Amino acid sequence: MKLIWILIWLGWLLPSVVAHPADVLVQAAYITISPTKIRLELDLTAGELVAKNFLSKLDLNQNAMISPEEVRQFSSHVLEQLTLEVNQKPILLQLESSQIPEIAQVKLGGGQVQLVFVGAPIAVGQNQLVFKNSFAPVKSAYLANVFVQSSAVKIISQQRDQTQQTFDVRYSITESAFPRVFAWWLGLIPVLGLVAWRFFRVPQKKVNS
Amino acid sequence: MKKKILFVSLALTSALLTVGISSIQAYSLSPSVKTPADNTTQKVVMAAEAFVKTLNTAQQKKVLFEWSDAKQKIQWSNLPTGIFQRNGVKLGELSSPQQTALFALLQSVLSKKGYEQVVQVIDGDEVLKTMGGGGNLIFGRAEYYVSFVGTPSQTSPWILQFGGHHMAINATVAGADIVLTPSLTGGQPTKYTLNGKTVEPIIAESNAASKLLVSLSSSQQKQAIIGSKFIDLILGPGKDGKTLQPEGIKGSSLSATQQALLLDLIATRVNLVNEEDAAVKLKEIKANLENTYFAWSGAVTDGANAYFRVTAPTLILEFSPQSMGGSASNHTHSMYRDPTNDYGVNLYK
Repeated sequence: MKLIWILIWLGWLLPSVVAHPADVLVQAAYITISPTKIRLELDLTAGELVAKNFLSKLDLNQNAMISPEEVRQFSSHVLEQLTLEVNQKPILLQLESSQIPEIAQVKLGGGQVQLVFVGAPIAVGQNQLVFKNSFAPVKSAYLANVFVQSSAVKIISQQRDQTQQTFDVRYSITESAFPRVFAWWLGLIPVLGLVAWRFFRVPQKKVNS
Repeated sequence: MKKKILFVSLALTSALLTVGISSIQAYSLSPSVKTPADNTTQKVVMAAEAFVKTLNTAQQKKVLFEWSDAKQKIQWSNLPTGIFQRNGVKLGELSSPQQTALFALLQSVLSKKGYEQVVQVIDGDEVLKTMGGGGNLIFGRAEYYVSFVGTPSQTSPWILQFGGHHMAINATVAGADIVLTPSLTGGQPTKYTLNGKTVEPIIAESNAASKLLVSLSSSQQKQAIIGSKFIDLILGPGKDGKTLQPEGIKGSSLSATQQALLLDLIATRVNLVNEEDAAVKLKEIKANLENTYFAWSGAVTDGANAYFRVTAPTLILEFSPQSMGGSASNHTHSMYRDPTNDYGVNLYK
């Protein structure tokens, strides 16, 4: 325990040259809303003083290599600590992709673990999204921001709690969550059906009376 | 019938050839610029060519990248060598005449103030190096790299990349236009003494932001302040293509005096580029000032220890102190982006 305090104290004294605070895990959430999905990108960058502890949650067998199974377990563990609700209904998030840096880079305080989760389409009209990040494997600093990927989405307001672990976004979607192109194709189905019926119907035999 | 088949075959072949050739052209050739090169660009191109000529064949090979090299375009960071590896040739590998030619190129691209700031950041990093620490990390004057994406030209776009610890200058040159978005500036230490002179590379922007905040009434400050602690950069390296949603106080809610202070703050970053291109950008920003937002996160009493952001339709500025030993204001990162024109994407076709 004494050693940890000495390390922290030394960390404050020596000029640190890394990009982020040395004694925290920076957790930056980038939430992108589009009419078809919600995308949550979580970037995790550990400072050099907490990197070892953070890595122990990722490199479970401590063999200095991160296997796909370890990534899967880690992302599931992270996901359990995240909640994303739209209009007070939880959005089911699934891991879409992940990027894991070299372990040596993470130890130096510069490697960034990136997890991307996606959720199902959301409703037209005014909505309230609430994101909560309770993942805290080590002392963490949180960031949460919202982005849009379509002119159909308008952000009305953004509010965060003091630590930015809770992020409240009011937004509106002005067009159907269902892509317009699909709507056109859906509209075409009865027309095509009629055409097909007109050309390919089997002529009924006239019954001679 | 045979004539008809021959005609159709010929038509199909020529159509396929046209599509094929244009696809190859689109893939392999540099696009053309929208505006003809002006005097500034001509000088910049001459300076770039003069620098490249000083390099030997091996160095030229390391410095020049194809315009189509999308990976190299985004290969920049604030991080030191050891965590992040830049491409190109570093100052430590350049002879004195080569360094002179490189700094002449930087002088032609940047304003006098911008050039001074770049030199001050490099000097500051050398000061940091002499303070010791850093372990496996490599930084200091010798660790600033130069590279080109595309060949310096008056008719095709190209990018001058110059960067190292706490700095990434990405200058896209396209005809008459030169833009610096995205670029990262900052420094550590942000105040040091060199040759008996006190140097403060980022003091102008932190002072300009504090001045604007202090000018706001308490109800205006309520709108501007989005948090009580400083935060990290949101759109730092690797965050291309993201547009922050505006937060804080809107330009239209500011008085004429406050708008002037906002413009002063923006100018501290925009004026890094040469006077002519800065004037074009500032004119565009002035036209959008009513729709420009100023946001603050951190202590109200201590400007240098707070994060601030300016969001406009064609501009995003971020300033972020880093809590890494001692005062956070002694280590800062600043980001300058244009959500509509990073890497000058609007300047060529």
